[in-house]
Amino acid sequence: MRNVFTKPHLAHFHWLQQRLSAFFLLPLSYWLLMFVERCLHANYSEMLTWLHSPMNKYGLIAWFLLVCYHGALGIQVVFEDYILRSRQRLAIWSANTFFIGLALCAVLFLVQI
Amino acid sequence: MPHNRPISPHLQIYRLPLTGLISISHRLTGVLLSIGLLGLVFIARQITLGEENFNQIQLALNTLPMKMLIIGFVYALMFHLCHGVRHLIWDAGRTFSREKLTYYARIELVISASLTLFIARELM
Repeated sequence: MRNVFTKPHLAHFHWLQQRLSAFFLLPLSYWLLMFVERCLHANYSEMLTWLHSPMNKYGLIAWFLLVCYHGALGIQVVFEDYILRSRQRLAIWSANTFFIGLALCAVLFLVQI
Repeated sequence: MPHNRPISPHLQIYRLPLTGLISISHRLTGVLLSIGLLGLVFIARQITLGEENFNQIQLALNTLPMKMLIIGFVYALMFHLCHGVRHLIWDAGRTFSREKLTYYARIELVISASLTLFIARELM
C-alpha cells in the first residue's frame, strides 16, 4: 500500500493504461476473429490477399501489440496478488519478457508475410 | 490454548457470490488467453513458412479437438471482453448496488454465451 500512497501517479497510470488498452482492444478483436476464420477456411492465396491489405495487416498487428501490453499489465496485478513479495519481481520480469517476446515475434512474422 | 480457531476462508470453501465467481474467472480467462496467444503467434509463423506449412496447420485446426479448443478460446475471449466492459461501467461509478451486481452478472453470462454461439456458427 505504501507505494500507492507515495507514488499515486504510478498506480493511477497502470489503471489508466489497462482501461485504455481494453477500450481499443474491443474493436480490434474483429481482426483477430477474421484471422481465425481465415486460418480455418481460406486457402493460402486467399490468406495472403487478406493479410496484404494494409487495413487487415495493421489491424492484426495493432491487436497483437495491444493485447500483449494489456496481458502484461493484467498478469502483473495477478502476480502482485498471489505471489510472495520476495518472488514478485522475478515473476513480473519473466511475464514481461514473455509478452515482449510474443509481441516482437508476432510483428516480425506479420510484416514478413 | 486449544487449536479450534477457524483459519481464514479459502477460495475452495468460501461460497463466493456470483460477482466474485465471475471476477476470479475474469482473471483465469486472462491467463488462459495469454497462453493461447502462443498458438496464434505459432500460426502466424507457419504462414510465413509457406503454403505447405499453412495447409498442415489448417488441417490440424480443422480436427474436432482443435475446433473445441478454438471455441473454448472464443468463449474465454467473449467472457473476458464482457466482464471488461463491466469494469469500464464500474469505473464510471455505476451499477454497484447488490441487486444490480447479480442482475448484470447474469446478463454478462448470457451475452458472452450468445456471442460465442454466434461466432462459433460463423467460424465452423
